[in-house]
Amino acid sequence: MSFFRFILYAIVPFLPIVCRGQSDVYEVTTGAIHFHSDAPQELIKATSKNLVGVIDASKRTFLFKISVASFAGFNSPLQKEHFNENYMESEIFPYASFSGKIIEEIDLTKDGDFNVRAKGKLSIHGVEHQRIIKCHVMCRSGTIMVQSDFTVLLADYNIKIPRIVSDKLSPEINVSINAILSSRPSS
Amino acid sequence: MFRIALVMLLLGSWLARGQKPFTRDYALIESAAGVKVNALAQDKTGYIWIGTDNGLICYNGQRFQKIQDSIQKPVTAIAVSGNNVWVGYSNGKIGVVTNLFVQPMHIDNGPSSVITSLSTNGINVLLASTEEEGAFVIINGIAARLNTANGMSDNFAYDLSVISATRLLAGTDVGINDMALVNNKIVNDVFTTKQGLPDNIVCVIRNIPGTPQYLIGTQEGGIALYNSENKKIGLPRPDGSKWAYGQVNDILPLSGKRTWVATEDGYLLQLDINDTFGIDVRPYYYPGKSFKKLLADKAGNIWCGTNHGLTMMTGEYLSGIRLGQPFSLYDATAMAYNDDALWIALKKELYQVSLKDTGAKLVPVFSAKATITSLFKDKDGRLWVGTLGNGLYYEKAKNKIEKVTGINELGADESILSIAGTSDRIWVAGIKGVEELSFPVNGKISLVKHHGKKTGIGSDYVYQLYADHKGNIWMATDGAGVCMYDGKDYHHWNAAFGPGGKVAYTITEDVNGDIWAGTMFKDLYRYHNNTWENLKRPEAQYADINISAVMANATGEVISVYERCIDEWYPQSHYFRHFNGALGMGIDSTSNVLNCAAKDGNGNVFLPYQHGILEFKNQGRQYDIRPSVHVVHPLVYSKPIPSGKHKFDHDENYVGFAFDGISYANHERLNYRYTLQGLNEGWIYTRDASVSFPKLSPGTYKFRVQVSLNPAFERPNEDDYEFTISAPYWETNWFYFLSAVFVFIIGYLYIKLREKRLRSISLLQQERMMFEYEHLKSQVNPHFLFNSLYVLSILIEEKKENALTYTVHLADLYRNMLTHSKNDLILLQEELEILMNYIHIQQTRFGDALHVNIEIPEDIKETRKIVPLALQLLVENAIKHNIVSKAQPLVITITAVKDEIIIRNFIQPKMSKDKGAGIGLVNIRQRYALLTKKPVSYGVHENEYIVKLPLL
Repeated sequence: MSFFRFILYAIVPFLPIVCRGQSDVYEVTTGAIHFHSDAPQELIKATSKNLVGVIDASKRTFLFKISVASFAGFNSPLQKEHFNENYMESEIFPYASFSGKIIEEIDLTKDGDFNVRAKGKLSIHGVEHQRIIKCHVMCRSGTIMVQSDFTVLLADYNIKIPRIVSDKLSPEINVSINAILSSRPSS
Repeated sequence: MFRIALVMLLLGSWLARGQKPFTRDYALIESAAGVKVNALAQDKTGYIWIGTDNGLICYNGQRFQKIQDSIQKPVTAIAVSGNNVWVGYSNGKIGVVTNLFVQPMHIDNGPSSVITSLSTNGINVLLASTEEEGAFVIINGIAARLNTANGMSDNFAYDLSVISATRLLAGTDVGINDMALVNNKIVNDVFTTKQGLPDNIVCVIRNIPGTPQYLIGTQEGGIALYNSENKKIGLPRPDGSKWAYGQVNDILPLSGKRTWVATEDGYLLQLDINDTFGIDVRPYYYPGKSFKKLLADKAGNIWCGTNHGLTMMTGEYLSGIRLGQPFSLYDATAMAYNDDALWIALKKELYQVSLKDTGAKLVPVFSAKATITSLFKDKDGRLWVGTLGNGLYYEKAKNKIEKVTGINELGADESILSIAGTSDRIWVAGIKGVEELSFPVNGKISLVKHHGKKTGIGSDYVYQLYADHKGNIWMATDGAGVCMYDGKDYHHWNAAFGPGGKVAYTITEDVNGDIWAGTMFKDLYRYHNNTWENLKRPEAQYADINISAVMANATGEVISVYERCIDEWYPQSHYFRHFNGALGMGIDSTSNVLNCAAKDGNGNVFLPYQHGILEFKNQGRQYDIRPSVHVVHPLVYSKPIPSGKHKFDHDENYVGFAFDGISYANHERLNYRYTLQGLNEGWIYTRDASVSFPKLSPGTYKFRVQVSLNPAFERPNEDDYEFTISAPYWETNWFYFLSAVFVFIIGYLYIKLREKRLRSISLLQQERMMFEYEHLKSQVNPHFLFNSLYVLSILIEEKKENALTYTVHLADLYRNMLTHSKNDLILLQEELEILMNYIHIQQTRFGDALHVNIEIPEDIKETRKIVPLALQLLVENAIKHNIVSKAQPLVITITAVKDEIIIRNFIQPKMSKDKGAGIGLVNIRQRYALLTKKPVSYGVHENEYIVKLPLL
């Protein structure tokens, strides 16, 4: 019997093994996302502190989410309006999110400093892409601190830049994230 | 129409470092940013299939054809087996290409996330890896899943590699999964950083052909080796340095030790791997590019799928060293190789260029007093320099170049054209012959022998010297053609060359020991098996200048150099690969100085060109540059119809074919020839890629088309298409057969009937003639006549008035007999009239001795017919054979019923009978037989003689 045939007949009706480990869930208590666009003509910066997210230390999975409309600190109110209405369309796509898993086999419940790769789906402007984002993680007695810098190509996320502002808006946006997560009491 | 924007880039012009492969970029779509290529594959015919974010594209070396689909998602994986192409999409769907359309496959339990790789066993199994659902084994439209639920370490699978029918490798975010079926259970060994893998994210797994070794490409840990036999991870040496080239996106192991690696961060890595996994890495960096997939075609091009489209890379056969301005090697006059560096002469100046990656700069090393025409490095590493009008120099000590003096035949103002060396001699050619010199001993160089026109070369003007591997000196001369000196004798082959053969410019030896010579009129000769063969490229007559150099590398390719183009001979393909400015790689011109070329110790050939130095490399394997051809689809009345139809109706007899040449060497030079077997046997030459055959008569045909890079069609590839045009039913064999049978039957019947009728007629006529003859004979029987006349004479005496009546009856009788005897049938009424005349005559003779009773109904008399004179004959018979007297009167009774007439009389036999022919009754019967099947019967019945005749 060939391998493939075996799989076809023997393995197809498998039952998913549902594995519910004990709750090692950490939740964002303080978190901020900052981005800046470094275009020849203009530097645009904005920050939001409305980051929410969880990390499951046992499974090394995570989910972070932020409200797009909560970004503030633009050079002008009009710029913020453009950001929300023209580029990010935050009424249609109110959240940006990143969910996935941590590649490195680290124990987040123990104290230590780690450089890890967070791999998952980065969803912005309704477009999802698989990304591997390098993060620095510090675990200290029940809290996890996460710091990361990465870039987002606007073209990848279907965000179109009008030609007229092409030298005021960089096609590549630098994003940095800072978050502190605390262990959630086990329910 | 799918138009392609083609962007040519030659990168690295400002880098000026080392040899770098040439590249040519194709954007694939009209946008300058291009489109991301996710998958590449080449099918058996030769088409390159390109999976992009914008769908599937098929490429033949010239045209990018978008393949339509209904899935409308980025193509993320392609699997090819033979000419079958499967396509995986970013939404998990899988399709199969049918007639230039991607037909979605229905798969039970199939994937729904991005297909990251697709492979097939070529028969019925498809293997897919996916981003979120592990791997899928798809057999006949049903999928089985391999994922964390049955033992895989992670559900994000980048790549699969099949080891055997019961074992496969999967690269995941958590290492390598080596899954095998053992005793109907899946046994999975996982290899991660704990087992020595440099990184857990395994993006690529590629088998090294012919070995159990698998090259592993990781996300940030570079490459590793997995041995599937002992399940050991190997790391490349030298180790220790951190991988600096980014995520490994594809690995392309070629046969031999050569492997190419593509990375996310813009590197193409040329890896030469030895048996102990020692790796020599040559990185080529292309800023702004992200290399996704690699493919090597049969011709030796490496195709790279990038984030901006497709890039063709020449690393397997050609590299270049770009030199910055102001240097242009168009003016180079001589070249020689020296330990990872090249000596290059630009007029009077001699420079050295390092071939190491540290930077390619022309470093001046020597200034001559005249143009340097020739450079030669002897076996001791000494450089010899020949000048035009200023004699010979040599490297007396390291970097110390001095003039050769003290030899009368080699004057201070000598013009040197070429220098060569054998094991213990230096050979110097000029315009006054060839000087054979000793190696320098204590700074002293002496003349061994002078060779010239008079000693046997036949010319004093020698353009090039070449010392072959046996130590023979070959000379390309002006006036005496090719001459070879074997140490004793001079050999000439003038008769073997064409009209330009008296002037040879350049000469070399290839790796097989064959000698190549370039002569006037662009002829290129090869001396092979003791014969000279002209291998001139047929189009060479359009080249603008004669051959300036011919060089051979160590793997069999021979490079011939013209001013504006270069040809590279592929010995296996029997074609020249042609390089010129139109290829879009920036190779526009080379030096037109004779024999300005160099070869390194391994056999790689270096030539100057206007931007630097070209390196025609030894090739890792025998690449085949022969083009291939594919019959795309038939045409009926010039309209395309799906391929696969091989039977055409009689009214579809305007058949054509669209075919497609595939070449990744020189698509612009393709020539086709075709023939339609069944119509004509000759080849028709064309450069068009379609043909029509109007008004084909029914029959079986085979369309054959061949493709060639030149009009010579040596070793051509071919495709064919068989088809039949059915005959209309009226031209089919069964119709012919049935018609023939029908005509035959009709004819046969007609002839039979006609024969029968003719025979009846002729018999009837014969019978009638007999009858008439008998009858007339009987009537003019003298006995009868005598009797009649006797009766008449008595009547004249006794009853004159009766005599008159008697005579009238006699006359009537004869007239009627004459009249009717010619007819076949007469009415009974008329027959009875004849009979009455006869009876009247006989009764006149016999009186009461004869009684004839006729009892026939009137309607029968008037409607029915009878054979003429039959009744008269029967009555005559009765009178003839019976006694007719007063004592025994003869009573004849004639009656008729519906269908027959009966004549009877009592038998009173005569003692003496009249002689009769006896044919009367037989005659009657035969005449009836010709006319009817109804029987004529006669015979004796109870004293009566009865004759029954049918009435008609």
